[in-house]
Amino acid sequence: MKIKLVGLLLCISIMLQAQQNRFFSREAGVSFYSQTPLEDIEAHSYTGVAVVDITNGQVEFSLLIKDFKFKNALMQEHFNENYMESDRYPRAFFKGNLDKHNASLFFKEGDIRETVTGNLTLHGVTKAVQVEILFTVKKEGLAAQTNFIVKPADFGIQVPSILSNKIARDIKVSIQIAALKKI
Amino acid sequence: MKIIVAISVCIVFSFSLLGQESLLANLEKDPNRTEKITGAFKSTRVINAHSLEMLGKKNLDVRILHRFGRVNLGINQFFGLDIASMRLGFDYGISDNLMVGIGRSTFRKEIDAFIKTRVIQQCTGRINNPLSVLLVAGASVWTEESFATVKPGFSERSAYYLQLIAGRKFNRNFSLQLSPILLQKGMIENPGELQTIFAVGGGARYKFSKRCAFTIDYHHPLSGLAANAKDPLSVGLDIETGGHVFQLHFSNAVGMNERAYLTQTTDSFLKGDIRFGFNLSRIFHLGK
Repeated sequence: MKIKLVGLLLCISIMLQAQQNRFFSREAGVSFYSQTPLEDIEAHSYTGVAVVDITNGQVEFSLLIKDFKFKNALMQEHFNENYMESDRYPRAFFKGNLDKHNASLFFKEGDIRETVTGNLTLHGVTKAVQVEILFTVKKEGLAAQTNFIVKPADFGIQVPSILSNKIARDIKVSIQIAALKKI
Repeated sequence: MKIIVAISVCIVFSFSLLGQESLLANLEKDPNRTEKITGAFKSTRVINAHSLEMLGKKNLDVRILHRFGRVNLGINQFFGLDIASMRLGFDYGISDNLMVGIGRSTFRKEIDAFIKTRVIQQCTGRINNPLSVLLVAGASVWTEESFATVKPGFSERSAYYLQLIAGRKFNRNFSLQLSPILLQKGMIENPGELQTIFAVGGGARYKFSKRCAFTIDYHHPLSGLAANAKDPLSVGLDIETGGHVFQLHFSNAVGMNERAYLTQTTDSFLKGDIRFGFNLSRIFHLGK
């Protein structure tokens, strides 16, 4: 009796494991742009980590702040030391769910426009956000891209007044993932 | 026995299901990743000595250094501020691990130049280097008119040094470095002095806010110095304002290059013969 019960539990566990349809990438491209009349600043990272679970519509994204590369090494140092404090808050993190999730769409090739709602943690501050994502189901995997605005002030990132007209209040963020692969 | 095994397997699987809480839990850590540790010091100098920091590629650092008279000269000399000695310098980053610099000091009208390279950079991850290691080689020549009966030639007025810097950023606030230095002078100028001087140096910084840090810079010559020479010791405050670094400090050294601060410091810090001084560093990014 006991053995049967255990066996049943085991089967259920395995079935649940098998059901997971997760897509994963460690090479998500993330760029941000700060545009002001005085100065344009941009930085890029190609090492964002993304996971999408198409069974339940869960989406997670993680990014090490130090991976952002600037053309100007000094800007990169100031970004890490003075604004993002990346020794203290090493990563940015997003966790959310697709709003109108329909798993079946992910099984045929084509574009899927979705919105995702969740929490973005940046500089130690967590804030609810909603962004649009364009998924493209392809043979080689699941591509994804999104653009959104982040306001440094919302995340406790202080800009000294003498630099306030060199750093935009709205930072454009763009994420491009060429292919999330099935795990 | 079998049951126990089966139950354990179930538990393991259940845990992996609970792991759904965070999809990234097991995926985020990339074993092939190496992270470089940056920002051990605010500037490429601790105060007088070279620090663990390098200029970025294509960055030009314009450095204006001032050392004033002794604070204990009193109000007549406005606590030393009436007397000023300065060095104007230009440093340039050829790559992230190679930089060069030139400078000229009013003290003895001395010109100096150096080349500095980072051999090992502190990093964690797949490659784990607990220390950064850098090498600096430099030369200087003073051009002030000599009133000696036999005027010293170029080689007598020259000095050369080789310095090894090894240090570590222990945490986001505290960094420490050791910097042994070998200095070769062109001639003996003072009684008791040797042409070759070996000194050990130490520097540290403690960052107490995002933009401010305390620094200390000390050298102890082990051999070869004149009888009246003292160990150069400086304590300072670094203030970084985005592009500018102000290094305000008190020191017993008046020299602003390796030869000058190692061999020509004759004031005693502990007896109060200290001077106020500052280094102003302004970095320009050249090229696209």
